[in-house]
Amino acid sequence: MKYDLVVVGAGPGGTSTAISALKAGGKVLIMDRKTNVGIPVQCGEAVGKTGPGLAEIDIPERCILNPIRGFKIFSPNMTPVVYARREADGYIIDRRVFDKELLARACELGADVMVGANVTELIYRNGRVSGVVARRFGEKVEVEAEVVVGADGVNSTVARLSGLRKFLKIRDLDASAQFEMVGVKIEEVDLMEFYLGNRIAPRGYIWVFPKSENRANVGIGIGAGMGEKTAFEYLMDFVKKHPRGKEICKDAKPIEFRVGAIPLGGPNPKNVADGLMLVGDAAGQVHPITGGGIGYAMVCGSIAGRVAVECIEKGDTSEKALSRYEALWRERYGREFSQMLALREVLERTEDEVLDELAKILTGENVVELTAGKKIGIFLKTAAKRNVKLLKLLNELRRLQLIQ
Amino acid sequence: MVNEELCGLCSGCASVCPRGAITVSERRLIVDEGLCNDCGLCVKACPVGAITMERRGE
Repeated sequence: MKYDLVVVGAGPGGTSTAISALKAGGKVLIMDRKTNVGIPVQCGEAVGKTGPGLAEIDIPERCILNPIRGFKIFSPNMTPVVYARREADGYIIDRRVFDKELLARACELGADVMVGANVTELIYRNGRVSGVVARRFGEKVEVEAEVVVGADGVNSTVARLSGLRKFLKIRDLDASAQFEMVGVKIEEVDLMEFYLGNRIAPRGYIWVFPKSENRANVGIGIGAGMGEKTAFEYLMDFVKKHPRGKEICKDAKPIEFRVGAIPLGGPNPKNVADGLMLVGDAAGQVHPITGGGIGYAMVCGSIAGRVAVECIEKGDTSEKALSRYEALWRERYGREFSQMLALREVLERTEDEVLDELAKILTGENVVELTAGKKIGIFLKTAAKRNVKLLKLLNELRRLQLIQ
Repeated sequence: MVNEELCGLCSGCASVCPRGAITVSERRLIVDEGLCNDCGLCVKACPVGAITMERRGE
């Protein structure tokens, strides 16, 4: 079996790569180790403002559960920072429907697919990747391809086998747990909620993403191994003990429990090799602070698919030729990701009390721009000007070119 | 050792294992105790405390 591309992983990154390659005239095989793609859901299910503009991402109508106009962030002492547009700015989607829908679309465009196929080896010919070996329903399968695309997630086999990312550093991982709950007291159905605090969610946050008037994803991401409790225990403390958490979850009933692992150490130093590319979580294309990755995976995947076919047509799928993908996607998100990694490092060291002060002076618009790596202007009132720790933090942000 | 009742197959543990001792399939998570050198990073990575330092052999 010979293909132009074999895409390993049928998540949003992989299917976007495939669709883009198919539209450019490529012959594509998509493989996924699961027989039921997209399940279990290991995601907050929000595609939002931070990251690629929605206009670029084609989100199938039937996947959309709830349009979102903005957010409310609560600092450790519950100081709110609110952002709300008049129009929808993002969506809460159903990943089960979304992932399968994209895969179906790829197939309709001509992709071949193998579900239940677990890649075990990369095939090398003349020192370059030329396909994969997989195990499928007890049998060994070999697939030849000009380019192998690893879009196989946080624990990417392709990234490991190629040596591009053998394992993650623990500080580059967020551990996540989440409930989908019915009966959550939702203040405003079109606003996402975020709760910060070193004792609430160390190196992370708790989120409430409304799916309808009384249904929401309530979840947490924490720096893996940070704090004394598991992510799940921190989440339970919020639901049962946090003054606001226990109020909004008083009558809430969990109808689903999920876990997740998020690679937010930024992109791998290199995401291409001779005959090989990485996309999405496998490539580390995840926002280092929000943990958002769907949008980035889809846009970077689209670039990868197109570049791969162009290289195949020119007869050159060497690392050097495929590096065009790196140049293009890093031009778009490279700076944002490295700014955000630096910002995360600063925020990690910031005490709750200083976060509270920061929340008093930041607007919602500031937060949106800040998390996109853009420079913001802020006004300091007299009281704030006397807070030494706050001033120190602002100086650090100024050094990162995030504040004017 | 993995408590299968708690494990949700998120692959966090496998992703941080410096020895590649953990494999995750659609259905289960397997620790190759021969490769494991007891670094404990997998335990830190787990959101639910499903993986512990005890070895199956003990």
